[in-house]
Amino acid sequence: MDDNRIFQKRALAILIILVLWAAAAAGAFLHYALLKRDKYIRLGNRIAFRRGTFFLSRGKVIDCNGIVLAWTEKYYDLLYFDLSGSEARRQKIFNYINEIMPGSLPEQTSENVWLVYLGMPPRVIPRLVPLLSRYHELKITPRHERCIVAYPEVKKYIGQVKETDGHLTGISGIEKKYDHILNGAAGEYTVMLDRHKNWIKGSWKLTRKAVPGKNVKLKLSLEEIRGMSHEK
Amino acid sequence: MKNSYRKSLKSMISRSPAMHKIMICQALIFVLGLWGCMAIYCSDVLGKSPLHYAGKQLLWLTLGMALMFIAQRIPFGFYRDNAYWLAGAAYIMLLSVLILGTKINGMRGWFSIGGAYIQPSEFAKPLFILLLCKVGCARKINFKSFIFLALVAAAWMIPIMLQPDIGTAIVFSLGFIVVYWMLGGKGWHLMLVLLAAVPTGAFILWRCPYIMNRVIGFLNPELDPMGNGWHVRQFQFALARGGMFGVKMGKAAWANSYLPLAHSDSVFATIAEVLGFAGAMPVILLIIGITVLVYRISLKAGNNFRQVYIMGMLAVFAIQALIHISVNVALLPPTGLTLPLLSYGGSSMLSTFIGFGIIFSAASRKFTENEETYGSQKL
Repeated sequence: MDDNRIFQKRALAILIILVLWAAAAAGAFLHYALLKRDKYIRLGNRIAFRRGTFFLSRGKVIDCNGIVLAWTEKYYDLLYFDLSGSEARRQKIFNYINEIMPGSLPEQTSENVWLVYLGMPPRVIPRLVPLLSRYHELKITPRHERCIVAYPEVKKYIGQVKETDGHLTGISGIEKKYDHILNGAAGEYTVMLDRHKNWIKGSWKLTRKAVPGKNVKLKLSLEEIRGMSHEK
Repeated sequence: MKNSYRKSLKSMISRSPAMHKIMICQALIFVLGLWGCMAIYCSDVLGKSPLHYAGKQLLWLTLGMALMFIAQRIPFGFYRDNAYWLAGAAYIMLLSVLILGTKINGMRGWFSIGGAYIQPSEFAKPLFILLLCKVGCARKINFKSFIFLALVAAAWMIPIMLQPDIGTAIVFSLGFIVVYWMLGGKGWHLMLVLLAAVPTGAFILWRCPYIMNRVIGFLNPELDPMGNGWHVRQFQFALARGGMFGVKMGKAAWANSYLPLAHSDSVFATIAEVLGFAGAMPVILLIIGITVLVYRISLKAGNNFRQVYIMGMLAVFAIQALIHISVNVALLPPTGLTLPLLSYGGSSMLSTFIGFGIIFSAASRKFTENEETYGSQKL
């Protein structure tokens, strides 16, 4: 056989191998994109989508004269989760934060968690966004604080709340008695997370509307509550 | 005006029977490049500046087309006669990148010059094939010349493996096999290459545990879906999300957050998510279309040197593209190889265009006829 004939035969063999390879790749593509699509979408959603509940603000407790005795305030805390264990990296990140919020004094709260800033002013949060997307160790967590007028006897009468996953539940006094009214109904949402568990912009979807907590108006006045305690 | 344009086009095509095939090929290559720009845009559409990478890629595409036409205009005799010089320069670059190169993603494979990154292993591909053709055509093909060619190929693959860029080294080794086979090499010689690949592969797996982990993750992604199986899993999910017609461009969440290097290593999966099976299948068909056209061009290329170069270079292009697609459809373990003409990267884009330019130069009948008198011609 002459050289050209050998070349032609061998070139054809290479071409056939390449075409068969492409056909196999197309087959695998078809398998995932059409034949087993539902299975892999379900598996993917399990990793990427999160369902969560949220409550709107807890209702206020008001005396019969309209004086607010208990209300909720929302704060944002900045936390650092030490993923790498590198002190140099931690210090570098803290320095960046200090440039944005001078005077922050990070405090270690557990083995891997540092409270970097307690109760950040909401206006600084947008300035922290680039830092949060670059350093996945940083997280902003909302915190609800129940405030009660500064009379010990009123505080005792109104009672206490407990915070679980950002939600307040009454555990004593008026807070416990009227918890179902003050709470409202939880809303539900789904959101898509990226590999670092950050929310993907534009993926948040409300699946059930939340009902805000209602205010509870007491039959007693602030003075009467204080007096009740003195009489006892 | 219209008639004179038609006449000039007709005369250009009639000058060479392969010319119309070359022109169709160039059009297909350009379409693939545009497809890549769109995919790169989609991979960062939820980011801050989605046009950043896509705009740069469009620039590379334009520059690449220009380089392809220049490389095509240069007589193939020039490449043949200066093969050792050209390959020597590329080899020096491959060696020096190991010392002077910049490390990106754990690989020391780039020169950083004024903010631009140049990857010598990409530019080495067309010159490596040229060198193998030159060495192979200058000798009678027997066991001695096989050993010599294998040593030349190994000398090129070692610096690439030291970067370490195992994916590119695999493409080089397959390029060597195709060139040797096209030169008329014996089948049992190539069986020796396959036999040698077994201990080499075992050694690489032993020395590079991350490659071993990729293989384990590929074979059983369920075993460690958040670790070794992560990449394979994300490819599967991206293809499934794309379905038949894809998701809307702004909703390519997998391409924007889960796929590893969505604009380069996972560009096919990005296209699959955005355009679905209907939009990504044409990429495979275009690659096969180019392969068939170039194969037919090679049959009419005149002499053995030109034919082997065309087939060798075509094989490097098609093999790299098919490895990338196979990885993205979870048919092969992740290799980190880009999809030529579509993945983001100036070096890959320009070297592919230069490679095709040399292919078209080799296929050009005008220069084939003049080859005998090339030595006395003025360039």
